[in-house]
This record gives sequence, C-alpha cells and structure tokens, in this order.
Amino acid sequence: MEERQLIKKIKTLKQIKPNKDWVLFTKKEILEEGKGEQVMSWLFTPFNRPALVVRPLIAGVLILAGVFVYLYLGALTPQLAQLPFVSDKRAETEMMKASLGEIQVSLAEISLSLNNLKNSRNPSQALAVTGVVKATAKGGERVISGVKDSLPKGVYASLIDGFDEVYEKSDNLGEELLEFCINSLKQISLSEEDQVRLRKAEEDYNEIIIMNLYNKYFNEN
Amino acid sequence: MAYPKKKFAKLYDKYVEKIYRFVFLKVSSQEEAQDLTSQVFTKGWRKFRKGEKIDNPSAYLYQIARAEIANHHREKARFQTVQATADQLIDPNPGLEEKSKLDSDVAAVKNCLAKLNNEYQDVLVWKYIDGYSNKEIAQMMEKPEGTVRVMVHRALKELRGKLAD
Repeated sequence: MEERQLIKKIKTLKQIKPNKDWVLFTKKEILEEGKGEQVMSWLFTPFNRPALVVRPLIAGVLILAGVFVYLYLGALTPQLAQLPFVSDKRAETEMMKASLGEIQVSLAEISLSLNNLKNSRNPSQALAVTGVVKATAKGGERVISGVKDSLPKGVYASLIDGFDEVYEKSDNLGEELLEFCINSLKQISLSEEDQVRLRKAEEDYNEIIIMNLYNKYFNEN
Repeated sequence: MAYPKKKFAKLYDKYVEKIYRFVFLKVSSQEEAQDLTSQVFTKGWRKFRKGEKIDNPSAYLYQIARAEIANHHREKARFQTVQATADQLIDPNPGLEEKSKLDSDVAAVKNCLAKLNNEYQDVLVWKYIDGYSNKEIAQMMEKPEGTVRVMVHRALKELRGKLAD
C-alpha cells in the first residue's frame, strides 16, 4: 500500500465525532461545576462517570418512588375519595394502569443499570448505591402489597417478579463488590490494627454468606 | 483571570472533538470515551478555574487524557466485566449502505491502530488526524523533533503491516 493511501485510510478516522447533544450537555455540566450542586453531587456523579450508569439508575429509582407515592395515595381512598382531584374513578383507573406500566419499565431499567454498575471506578460507593436501590425497592414492594387487592390479576405477581430480580441483582452485585473491596485492601499495607479489622470483616462476611446459603438450602427443600 | 468560564468554554469547543476521538480510539465504547473525555475537561476546568497557568492547553489536555486512559485500563483489568461493543462509530448522515462501508473501514483502521504501541498511535493521530506539525508533537511528547519524525515513519510502517495482515 502506498503511503498516500495509508494516510488516506488513517484520515477516515476523522469521521469519529462525539454526539452533538452530549458535547453541549457536558460543556454545560462542567462549566457549572461548583455552582451549588454539591449537596446531591455524590448521588448523581458518585463515580465521576456521569454518562455510564448512575443517571438511568437514579432516574429509575426516582420514577419508581414517585409512582409508589401515587399508588399509596390512591390506596387511602376513604379520605381522599372526598377530594375532587381523585373523585373521577375512571381517570383514576387509567392513571393507575399507566403507573403500573411505569413501574414495570422502571424495574427493568434499574435491573439493566445494575448490570453496568460493576464498571464503577469506586466500588465502595457502588456498594452504597446497591443498598439505596434495594431499600427503595423494599419500600415500593410494601406499598404494592398494600394495594394488592385493587391491582389487576397477574400484575401483582409480575411486579413482585420484577422486585425479586432487583433484589437478587443487588445482592449478587453487593457480594461481588464487597469481595473486590476486601481483596483490594489485602493488596495494600495496613497497620496491625487495620489488619485485625479486615480479618474480622472477612470472617463476618464469610459467615453471612454461609448463613445465606444455609437459609436458601432449607427454604428450597 | 478575567472571564475564566468564557475562556475555558472556547478551549472546550476547540478541543472536545479531538480529545474525544483520541480517547475513543483507545477504549472500546462510546460511553467510556464520553466518560473519560468529560473527566479530562473537568480536571482541566478545575485547574483553569483556580487561575493556574496552562502554557500549552492542547499538550495539557492530551496529558490528562493519556493519564485517564491509562487509569481506565488499569481499573478495567482489575475489575473485568463483559460489555457490548456494537457501538456506532460515526454519525448516520450518509445512506445505510455507504454508512455501513464507512463504519467497516473506520473500524478496520481503528482495530489495526489499537495494535500499535501507545506512542505510535499518538503520533499518527496527532499528525494525520489532528493535523499537528512534528514540532508541536515534539512539544506534547517532550521529545526532540527528529525523534518524532522517526516515530511517525516507523508507526506508518507498522500500521501498513497490520492492515496488510
């Protein structure tokens, strides 16, 4: 291949360009850094990897939380039915259906985002996020169970399956991240006191894993 | 420094495409390239905002980019996960058939380039894609201009071999 042809081939790489929307969005985000967004900054960019995982995950959790609040208010019928904004039963049913759809979509999104959370640069913060996700899902499940009787047939079971998937993924990811953190700590030099703490943490962790396996075995049999 | 935000915005506009491309050629997905590019500019902005002097902005940004890429690969090796690689390489402006050909050409060159050592990749990208002179590349790499000239020659030779395989 002639040098000119080769250079022409290299120049085809000029066609690689970032997405314009991303360029504008990132510029705005970077230049506004430090302008009072610190309070929630760890939540929205906990791993300094804004594009990858956290936004969809947090957005999913927030949508889910919003829908739960709506359903919970819907369940308080005796008091709220008196109010004009919830008196139209038909509109209420339609909204309920839409909300259930949103919950299913949010659960699927959260589940997908958990898959990507493994890529986090900061495993200890990722571990904290799995805890937040699980706690939100638990709260949601409690609300759904409270309005179980008013839900269409099969929908309740399908939502519970969605929650179970989120729990399972959070647990598995949590275990994986914790093991990673323990192994990373083993690679660095620690004071004697910290070494004792680390050994204790590892023993406790192993004990929990054995307990979980034991419980799982007896629940299944 | 007067109007640091405005000045940095100009720097961002001037270099974002180059830095993104530089990063993208060394990682495996658009998301990774976006994250690392935003890291590069975030770090640049933090320094700029403090009023610290940056003599050669392009050299400085590429220096951060190289460090970020190296960190990224180290982290990835430590915490390996499976990920999708079916990313779109270029904007979908041309027709489907043409676009698919362009995508495959670009992907072929990208793959062969990735097989070269890091410095060879850098000199080819800077010289033929970003259009820097040997003198500018020498400043960025902190090497004599003559060394850069030899590196470009060797990198081309090696890339030709990879493309022919």
